[in-house]
Amino acid sequence: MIDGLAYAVIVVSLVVGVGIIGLAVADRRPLTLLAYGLVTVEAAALIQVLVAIVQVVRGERPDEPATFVGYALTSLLAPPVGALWALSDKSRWGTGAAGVAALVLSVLTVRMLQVWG
Amino acid sequence: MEGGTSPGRRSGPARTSSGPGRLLVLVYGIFALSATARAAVQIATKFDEAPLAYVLSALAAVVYVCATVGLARSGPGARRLATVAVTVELIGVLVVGTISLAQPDDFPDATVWSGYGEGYGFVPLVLPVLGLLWLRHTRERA
Repeated sequence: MIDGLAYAVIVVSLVVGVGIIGLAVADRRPLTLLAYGLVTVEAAALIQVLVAIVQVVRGERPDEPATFVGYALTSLLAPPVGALWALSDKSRWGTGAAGVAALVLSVLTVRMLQVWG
Repeated sequence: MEGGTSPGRRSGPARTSSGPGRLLVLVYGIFALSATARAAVQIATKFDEAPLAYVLSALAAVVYVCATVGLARSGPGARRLATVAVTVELIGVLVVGTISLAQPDDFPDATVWSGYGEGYGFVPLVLPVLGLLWLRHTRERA
C-alpha cells in the first residue's frame, strides 16, 4: 500500500458516494453521471489492488496477508455489485444505496491500510 | 413513498427489498459480508484466544446473512426468516453489548456487538430497529 494513493482512493470514494447520495436526496437519477462515478470508483479500487500486487511481487508483505487479500477482493467486487443491484430499484432509495456501495470502498481502504501494517 | 404496489400486481404485503428496503438490504449485506469474514479469520487463526467472542462473532454473521436473504427475497417464508433474524439480532446486540460492558474480561477480543456495536458506529444497534420497523411497515401496506 502507498499511503498517498490510499488517501486518494478514500477521497474519490467519499466524493462519488456522497455525490450520489446527494443526487438521491434531490431525487435525481442521471444515469450517465452515475456510471462515470461508479466506474471511477472501480478504477480507483483496481489501481490500488494492482499497486499492492506489484509491491508483493517486489517482496513486500502485508502484516495480515489473509485478511488483506479478503479486503482487496471485496474492494473490487462489493462496490460495483452493490451499486448495480441498488440501481435496479428505480426509486431514490436505490440511488442512495448505490452511493453507500461506493462509500464502502473508503471503509475497505482504511481497513486495508491497517492490515497492511 | 416510492416502491408501492404497482397496479397490475397481486395485492399482498409489499416487497421488503424495494424503496427504502433496497438501502436496508444493502447495509445488511455489507454487515453480512464483513461479519462473516471477520468471524472466519478469527476462528481460523486465533480461536483459542477468545472462544466465546469468536463463537458470538460467527453467530452474528449467520444472523446477518439470514436477515439479508430474508429481506432481499419476497414471500411469507422470507419475511418470517427476516423477522426471526432481525429479532435475534436486536436481542443479541443488547445482551452482548451489556455483557461486554459489565464483564469485559469475558471479551478479550471484540465482536460486532461489543459495546452495542460502538466499533461500527452503533449501526448494529440501529439496524435491527430499522429492520423491524420496515418489516412492520411493509406488512401493513398490503
